[in-house]
Amino acid sequence: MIVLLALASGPLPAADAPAPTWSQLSPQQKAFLAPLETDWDAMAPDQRVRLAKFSEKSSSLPKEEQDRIRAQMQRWAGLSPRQRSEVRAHWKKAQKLPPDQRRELPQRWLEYDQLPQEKKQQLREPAAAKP
Amino acid sequence: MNENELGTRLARSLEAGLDQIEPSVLRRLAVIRETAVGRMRAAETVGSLLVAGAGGRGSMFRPPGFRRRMLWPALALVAGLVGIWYWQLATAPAEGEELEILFDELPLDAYMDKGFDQWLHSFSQR
Repeated sequence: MIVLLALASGPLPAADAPAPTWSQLSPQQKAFLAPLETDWDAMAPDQRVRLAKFSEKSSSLPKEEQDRIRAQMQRWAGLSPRQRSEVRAHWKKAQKLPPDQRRELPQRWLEYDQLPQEKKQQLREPAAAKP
Repeated sequence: MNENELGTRLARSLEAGLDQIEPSVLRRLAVIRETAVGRMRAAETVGSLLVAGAGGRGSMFRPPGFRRRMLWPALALVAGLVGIWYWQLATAPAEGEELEILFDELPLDAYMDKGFDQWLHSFSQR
């Protein structure tokens, strides 16, 4: 993620630096950022500048990584404001974990994802699972 | 409570929790603060020009001592406005995180799954 953010980062644009509107993006940028089309013009200017910059360089990333980020954008675009708020809150919580625990998160998610559906349901409703 | 105490209390309450504000919010607050102070200075300049234009001793509408008496209420007003802006910024969703979330190694579903949260919790208790 650090590499990705480095690709998308750069000097913060000045307050009056123009952030590209959707119509100002190149066909290549539009293709990569397509899942965010509906949200694009309402996004914060610095986000648009960084994403536009990132989308220009995205072709240098492995295809798997491009697909993964596109899938994240697709998922994000489909979330309700309440769900986005929930994701933000949990993401913030995860950022506060000790570094070693944070590094383990992807592995933990893989382990969790492989649990039987019944076990996942128990975890989702711990109170209900207790006798 | 006199005006001095009111000003001090407002300043204290605004400073409370300053350490917990995120850097991006602090940057936005700094811009807002500079804008507010700039406007206040501009208003003062206009006020002093009016007073100077009336012989420096005030006028029918701006009696002598006007600026001094108005200073604390004006400061309290500015502090109150900054407080409102701070509250709005602090409670508004921070859109600056979206990029980091989109590029995160964890899928968004992981952050919405209460079971995963519980799963992590069980590890932290070991």
